[in-house]
Amino acid sequence: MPLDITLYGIQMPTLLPIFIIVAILQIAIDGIITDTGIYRHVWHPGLFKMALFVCFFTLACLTIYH
Amino acid sequence: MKNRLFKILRLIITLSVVGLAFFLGLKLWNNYMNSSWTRDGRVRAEVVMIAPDVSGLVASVNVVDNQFVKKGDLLFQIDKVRFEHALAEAKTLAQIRKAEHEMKQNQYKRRVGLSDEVMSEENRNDAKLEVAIAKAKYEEAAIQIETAELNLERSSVKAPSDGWVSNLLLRKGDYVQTGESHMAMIKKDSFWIYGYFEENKLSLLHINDKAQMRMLGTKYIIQGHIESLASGISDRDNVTDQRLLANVNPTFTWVRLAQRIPVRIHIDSVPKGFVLAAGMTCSVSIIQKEDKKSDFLNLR
Repeated sequence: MPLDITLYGIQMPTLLPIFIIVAILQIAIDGIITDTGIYRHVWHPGLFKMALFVCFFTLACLTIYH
Repeated sequence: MKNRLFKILRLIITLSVVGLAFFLGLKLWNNYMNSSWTRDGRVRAEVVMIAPDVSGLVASVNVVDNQFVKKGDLLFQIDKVRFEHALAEAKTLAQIRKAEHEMKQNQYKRRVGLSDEVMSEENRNDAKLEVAIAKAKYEEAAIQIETAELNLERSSVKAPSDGWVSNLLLRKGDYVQTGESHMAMIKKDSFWIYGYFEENKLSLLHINDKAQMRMLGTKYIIQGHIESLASGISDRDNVTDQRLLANVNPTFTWVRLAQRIPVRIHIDSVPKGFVLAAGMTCSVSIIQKEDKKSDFLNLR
C-alpha cells in the first residue's frame, strides 16, 4: 500500500483512512460477536474488543510499513 | 471444578488476544520508526541566478516568462551606446599612443647618430627609455581596447546553459547593476530529489539503494537511487552571536523530535506524461537490498 493517500487534494498518511475503515468494521464485527454470544466466554469484553481492534488495525498497517 | 476450568479458559482467550495485539502493535511501531521512508521529499533543481557583468539600462528583454533557452541565447540586452563609445575612445587613445611611440623611436634614432658634443650621454639614455615607456603605453591602450570590447560583448547577457527562464521580473528600461541577480534560470536535466529522513533512519540508507518517489496527489512514481547523504545540518540550539560566542538555548524540550537530514536522490526515470517541476512534494521510500534487510531484521 502507498505511504500516503490523497483525498480531494489533501494528502494524509494511509494510516488515517485505515483507522476509520477498521473502526467501522469493528462496529460490524462487534455486532456479530455479540449475537453469537462469544463475549460470555471472555474475561473482560472491553479489553477484548480493544485488543481485537488493535490486531485488525496493525495487520492492515503492516502492509504499508513492512 | 468445571466452572473453574471455564474461568481459566476465559482468561486465556482474552489474554492471548491482548498478547497478540501487543505483539502486533510493537511490530508496527518498530516498522514505522525503523523502515526507510519519508513523506517529506522535495524536487529540487539547479537554479542559476543570472547577473549582468556590466551596469546599464536594459534596452531589451529577449525572452518571455518560462521560455526554454539554449546555451548562448540572448536573454537581455543592456544599452550598448556607452560601451561603443568607450571602445571608440580606447581605439583613439591607442592611435595617439602609437603615434607617440613612433615619434619617440624617431627621436631616439636621431639622437643616437649625433656626436657627444651635441648630445649628452644622459639625453641619449633618456631617449632610449622614453621609447620603452611609449611602447608600454601603446600596449596598455591595446589592452584597454580589449577590455572595452569585452564590456561591449558582456552587455548582451546570454544563457550560460540550456534551461528555463523562471519568474521573469526584468523589464525593458530597468537599470541593472553589475553582479546583481535579475533573472532565475532552471538548468535543464539538473533535477534531483531531496528526501528529508529522520536522523535515526539514516543508517538504514546506503548509496545506490533504489528509491521510489510518489508524487503528491498523483499515481505517478518516479524511480531513482540514493546519490549521497548530507554530512551535516545546522545546530538549531547553538547560534553564534555577533561576537562569535555560542548562544546556547536554555530551554530543552522533554519530548525530542528526530531532526531530518537531507538525502540526495538521483532521478533515473520519470513516467511518461508527468511534468516535473522544482519544488514539488513527494513521499520517498527506499527499497533496501534483500541481504541488508535480512541483516537488519536479525539484529532486531
